[in-house]
Order: sequence, then C-alpha cells, then structure tokens
Amino acid sequence: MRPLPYQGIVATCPATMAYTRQSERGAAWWLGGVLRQLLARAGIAKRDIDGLVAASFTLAPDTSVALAEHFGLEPRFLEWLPTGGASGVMALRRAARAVQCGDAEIVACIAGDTNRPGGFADLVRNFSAFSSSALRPQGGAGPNLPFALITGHKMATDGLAEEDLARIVLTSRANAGGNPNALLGRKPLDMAGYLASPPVAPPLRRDDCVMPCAGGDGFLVMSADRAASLGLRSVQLLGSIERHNAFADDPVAVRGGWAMDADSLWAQAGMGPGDMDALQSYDDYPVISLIQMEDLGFCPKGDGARFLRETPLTVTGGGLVHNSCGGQLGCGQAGAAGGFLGLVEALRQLMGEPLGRQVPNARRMAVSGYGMVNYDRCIASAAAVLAV
Amino acid sequence: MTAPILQRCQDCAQWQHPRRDVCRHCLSDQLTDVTTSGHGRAVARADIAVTLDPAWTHQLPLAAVVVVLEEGVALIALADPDVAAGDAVLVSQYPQGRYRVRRLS
Repeated sequence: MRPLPYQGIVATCPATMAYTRQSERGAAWWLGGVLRQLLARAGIAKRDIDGLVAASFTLAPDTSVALAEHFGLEPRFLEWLPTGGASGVMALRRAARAVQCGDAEIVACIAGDTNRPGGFADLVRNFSAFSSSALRPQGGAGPNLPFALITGHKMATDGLAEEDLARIVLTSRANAGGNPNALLGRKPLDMAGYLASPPVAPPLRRDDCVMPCAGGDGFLVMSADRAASLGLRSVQLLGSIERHNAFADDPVAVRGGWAMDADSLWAQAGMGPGDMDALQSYDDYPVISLIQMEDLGFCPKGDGARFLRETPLTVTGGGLVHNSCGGQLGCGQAGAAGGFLGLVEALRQLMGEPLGRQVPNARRMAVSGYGMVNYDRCIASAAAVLAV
Repeated sequence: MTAPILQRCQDCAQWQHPRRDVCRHCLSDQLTDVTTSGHGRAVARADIAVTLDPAWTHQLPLAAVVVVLEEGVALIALADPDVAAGDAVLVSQYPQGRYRVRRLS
C-alpha cells in the first residue's frame, strides 16, 4: 500500500550551530541555539512553534519533555527520537504527518550534542544492552569492530580494494574543503595520506572513522502556504521510508532497510536515483555510504568497486554528488546532529544557500539515515526524496 | 572454558544471541542455556588496533571474526591471528562473555 502523498508540506530554515571539537556546554545549550536560529530565520515567535521533535545523546536523562520546559515551549505535538543517525529523516517524516493532519502548524526539528573530554568513551560504554553484554567483552573496541567486520566482509565478497572505499573518504574531505563548518575541511587528504592513516580496526583506518565533536542542526516543517506567507523559501518532501531491524538473519549486515523499501521511496517520489542531483548518505563509515548507494539503487549491489572508480562524488565532479558538505567524515560527528547533517545540507543546497560549495542546478536530492549500533549493525534506517 | 552456551527456546527450539528476555522468534519466555557444538565457520575477519577499554590495551592487536555456528547463530568473537574468513573454526567461551575462535585444520 502506497503511503498518502505529503501534499503541501515543506521543510525550511536549515540551521546549524557551528561544530567544535569539544565543548563544556550542556546539550541543551546546543539544542537551544538551534531553536533560537530557527525562530530568527523564520521571523516567528516562540509561541508559533506548536510541535517539537528532538534528538540527542548527551541530553540524557532528559528528553524532549524536559526541553519543552527548558525552552518555555507549549507544544501540542512532541516527539523524542533516540535513533541517532536515522533521526533526521524520521523527524521530517513525523513532523510532516503532524502538519498534514493538523496536529501542529509549525514543527521545530532539532538535534544537538555536546562533546566533553572522554564523552565518547562514556557514550560507547553504555550504548545498548546487547553491546554491553555481547560486544564489549570482545576487545572493547566499540562500534569500530562491527563496522570493521562489515567492511572486511564487503571488501572480500565484492572485490573492493582499500583504494575504492578510500574514494568516499577523499571526496568527502574534498567537499568539506569549501565548508567553514567542517572541522576537517582545512585538512586536505590524498590517497597517500589516507593509506598512511594509522590503523584503528583494520581494515578501518583513523580516516575511515568519524571524529566525535559538539554541534547542532535543525529545520522547520510547516505547510507550503505557511512558508509562503512567511516569505520563506522551502523544500518539498516527495517521499520517504523507514525500516528497523531489517534482514536480521544476515550474519554480516551488508544490506539495510533501504533495500526493503527503495521501490516504495521512488514510487512515492515519481522519480528514480538517476534523477537525483545528490545523495546525502549517513557516513559513519565509508562502507555504510556504499551500502546506501547500493540499496537505494544508485549502484548495482556488489558493484561498488566499478561504481566508486567511475563516479566523481564531488560537488564539482559533474556526476552524482555525495555528501556535498563533507558529511560526517569531513565535518565531524556531532552525536545525534550527525543524523540531521545530510538532511539540513540537502535543504541548504536546494534553497541555494549552502555553507560550502553549491551543487550546480540542485533541484532534487535523496537523503538517507542509519542509526543505533545495537550489537553487530545499526538497526534504524530511513530515507527521503526532496525537491524544489 | 566450554563451547559457547547460548539461549535456546523450549517452545520453538530456536537459538539466539545476544541474550534476550524473550525468544526473538516466538516471544516465549521459556529460554534455557544450552551448550552449542562450538563448531562453525568464520564469515568475516577484522582486527582491533585501538580499544576504548584499558583492560585490553596491553593485548593489542587482537583478531576478531564473525562466526556462524552450526546451530545457525552468528556471533562476534575474538580469534587466533591465523583465522581467516571461510575457515572452519571452533569457538570457546571464557569468563565475562569472551569468545575465542580457533582454526580447525
């Protein structure tokens, strides 16, 4: 059954609290800063926000409930998304339906995290019951181990060389070069530099692993009419999917939920991967971006070596653009805001106001998310097609 | 040291890992701990060069694999350095839930 079209629903006002490597601020400072930017950008008052969707790791034990009090909001629609890398698309989906059905008029979708010294190790230590009981005893490497195993398996089965997957890292860093918010944007990386990057969990090197940082991202969802009356440029949501715990019997997670639902996504959007000007994927590790390219139909399954050699991926490369702001591999991973990064970047590109370089003639983009490593893979996957 | 002791459902006879409060297949809570054969096949291999757990720091690097046991359950385990993807292996369980995989020649 095809879902109801998202008629007349738009996302607008992409906002970013500039990333920093570490921060002594609390998570609510980052989230509050995003909300402040959203209000200023839209020219609306706090009371106009009647829906709030939030995601954060370091806000714990608080949730969006506490944020309502913290920020003095009185929302009539409230969501909390503990889904990390999938939280951006999931926030958009929930906010869009709330507006479409009249449960809210303007929904603020915000994500933010702080990064105190030692914070990442603390986060990993208590991340999930399964990782504590079954993964941590196997060397204590955190999420790097399951993703090293996925990477090693994919390289062996698909004939991927390390130089092939490196292209995702190198092009992300190149795209980050134009983006003042990208923490690694001023550190150019070439193949020799990548291959000299120290091993973390071979085949993963340091440059394959996102750098934890502090930051915040957000956007507003409202009706197209409301955006027009506020004089805001905006982006249409043409279709979206999410799926959790897909293909649980695969011993190594070389597919995600996108493979189950991509046909629905493109049918909703009325277009296909070849129509996209860019893919903003969730790049916690390069192999995960490749899996999204495959499962969403940009690259035939298992054909990554050829695809990555032939596809420029850079903003100015003339082919499919991937992670035009540099992604997390170029910007850093600001906790749950990393799950908003690609979506906020797509909004900026489609509205013609990127922080970095503009994707030429950007009119249609796919955004995908992947969140929450529970034991040997991430459980949540989601994707959306956006257009102007 | 034994072969891995994993949960098996008394109602539907399915195995599961990691441990759960109910069966992931039929949601029964009639789960018992049963010793597996320990025999399986390594299907993926990686190494650990950096750990977040100081208890492991002096033992690096470590080899790790995904093993699919004869019982049909996949698990992540530490391995001897000579274990490669595709190898027939024997898995042993040590205290604190640690697994060690040896290659069967």
